[in-house]
Amino acid sequence: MEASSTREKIDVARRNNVNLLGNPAGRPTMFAHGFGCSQEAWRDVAPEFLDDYLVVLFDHVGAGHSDLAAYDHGKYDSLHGYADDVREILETHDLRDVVFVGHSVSAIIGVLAAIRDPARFAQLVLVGPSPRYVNDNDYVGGFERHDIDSFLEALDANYLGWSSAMAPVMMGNPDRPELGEALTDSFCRTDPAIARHFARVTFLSDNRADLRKVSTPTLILQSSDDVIAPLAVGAFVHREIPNSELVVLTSTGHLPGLSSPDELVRTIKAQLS
Amino acid sequence: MTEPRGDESFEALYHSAPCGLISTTIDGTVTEVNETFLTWTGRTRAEILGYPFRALLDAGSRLFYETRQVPILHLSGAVEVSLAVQKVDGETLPVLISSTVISDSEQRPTAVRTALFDASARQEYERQLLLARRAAEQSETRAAALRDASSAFASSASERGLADALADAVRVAFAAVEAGVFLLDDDNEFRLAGGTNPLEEWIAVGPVDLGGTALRSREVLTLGDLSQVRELATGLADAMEAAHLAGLSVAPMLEDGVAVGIFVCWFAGQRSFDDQFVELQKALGRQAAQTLLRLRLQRQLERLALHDQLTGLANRILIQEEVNRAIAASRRNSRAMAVIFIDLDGFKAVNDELGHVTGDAVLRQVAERLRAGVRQHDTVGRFGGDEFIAICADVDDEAATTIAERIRSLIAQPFDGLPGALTVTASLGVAVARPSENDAPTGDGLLSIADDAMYRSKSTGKNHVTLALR
Repeated sequence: MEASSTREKIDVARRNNVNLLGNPAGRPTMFAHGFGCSQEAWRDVAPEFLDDYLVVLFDHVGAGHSDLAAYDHGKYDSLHGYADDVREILETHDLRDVVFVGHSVSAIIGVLAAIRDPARFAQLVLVGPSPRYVNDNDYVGGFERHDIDSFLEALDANYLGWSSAMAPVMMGNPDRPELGEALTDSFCRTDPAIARHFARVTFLSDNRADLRKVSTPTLILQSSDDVIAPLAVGAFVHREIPNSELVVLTSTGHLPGLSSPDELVRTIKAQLS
Repeated sequence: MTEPRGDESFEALYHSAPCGLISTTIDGTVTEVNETFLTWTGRTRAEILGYPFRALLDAGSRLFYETRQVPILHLSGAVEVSLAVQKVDGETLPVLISSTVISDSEQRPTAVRTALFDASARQEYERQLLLARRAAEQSETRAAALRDASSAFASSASERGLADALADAVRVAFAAVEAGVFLLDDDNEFRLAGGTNPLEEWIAVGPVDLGGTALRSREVLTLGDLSQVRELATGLADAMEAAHLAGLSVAPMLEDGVAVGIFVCWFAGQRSFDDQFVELQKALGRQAAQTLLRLRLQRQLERLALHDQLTGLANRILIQEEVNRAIAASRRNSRAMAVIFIDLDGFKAVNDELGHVTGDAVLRQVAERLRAGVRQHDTVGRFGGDEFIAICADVDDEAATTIAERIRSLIAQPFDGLPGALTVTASLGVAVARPSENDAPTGDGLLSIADDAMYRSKSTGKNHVTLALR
């Protein structure tokens, strides 16, 4: 494929708020954020890679400073739409030998992208991946369908409902009055309607059958106590992806990138060296 | 100043505050909880201390807490959200939560303080408001889809334009990843007329007649997930899976029982379809079919106005337009063009002796022979009575004369239904316009030059071709 035109490059860069940082001669390492946040989720991780790697950060459409006008409900009705964006970012910058670090839903998005275009990917690092969140017969995803529905209601209450109107009168942060209603605007900015659709697509997805199609070497990183992606799910992903390794981190929770960035950085670097 | 009374001590205030108060480590392990929270939830302190904060939440809130509250708390140091707490009796309590990260003297985060406010009184009311707002937005979206589609249809001047407008409208209105419009052609086969067709081998033709089914039943065919598709045709389900498609709908385009075609929406994710979806699809199909039939009628009327009814050839009005157009093109391209004037010899006798029915049959045969005699892109028309015109682009004297000779010899062949005594032949005049000429003729002028040349053919024995010399 020919290198893409400048115009395409600009459009993709704007659409996904793509930032290329660090060592231009270094190995391209793409960090993909999960549901609920933006590239800010890598705040404590990405800087550790700047010396030796070409760090690629971006926001999924609908999150952070992505171009909301680029949101196409039909396209993003499945994770393949997001995977196409990942491939386009790599294509427009003609990045190869890529290390893809994907958190949560972005782990699966990376899996789909790597299946479509394995030539660009050298290593997948899946942080807390889950190919299916809802239990299904013998498969334990950790959630029932009604849990997901109640999650969507929680989203409604937070993004569209009364919390934004009530927030200022709550016992707040007297020393930081700026953290009132605008809070969700300044961190991990998310469009409410898009977040709702993304949540549906993410938490009702089933990509179990795709895992065995992965040919890229894969490192699976699992927190020891992650309610969103329990250990059983990590073990399942490890079993299904042929050339994979599972490492259980000592950190707890679904966000090792924020709660234990040092351990996450150390583990990824050990894999790449 | 008086001493604070016992029940106003800070500890009493903490425990009986009008809100739940919980402290956790930075990782979310509960280290302190007040009585208010214990009373609300019916739990004991021992059931809470040392356990993760998220364990207090219902499953949906836990997902929200992990994906949204925790990252924002880490990034900003404070967060305010709305969640639901799980009570010991299995009920849930909606709460507003405000959390703040506490740091030590060296700015290292050490703990999180959280206040929880009972929101059950407001929640149901606000939720109903939200549902009402969402329903209103949805019906507004659908009304807008119909409105936009009808204005797009109104400005469509061709079937292609209309089909593209419909495909665009339904793709947006139904959040489809692709949409295609298929119209029935003269052989009653579906042809893609607008939009896209990701699975060519399955929709226009193929073993599953989805389009035919939708048209016969006059209903929208909806297949919301691959298992439904698989019941119908495993091959189609496999093809969709490979193309990353999870569902489809096929809607009939019908107006007054007249089947015009179908439109197909392809969905990337699973769908469940409600009545509103089906009704809107039908309405769009009906509206598009109406517009399409009107376009076809309009085109038919235009055709009638510009063509000779008996022979189907261009009529005098169209001939004049075409001659002018051909002259303009000839100037643009610097290529010569020609007009051939054709007048039948002996036709009046046929009409007089055998009647109009036979005369008309001869004229129709003449029209066929004219079409056969000219080149593919030449125009032939009936100028009136037994006079015909051929317009030929990009020809010199010799080529134009060759075409005229071919026409002459075709018409000189015997006609069906004519007794041997009556013969019909043609006298022809050829006028060539060269773009280099200073006094290039007008359309009428060129026709008149060809007419004059034709008269010379008549006067020199008929069944003859004359090239106008200029």
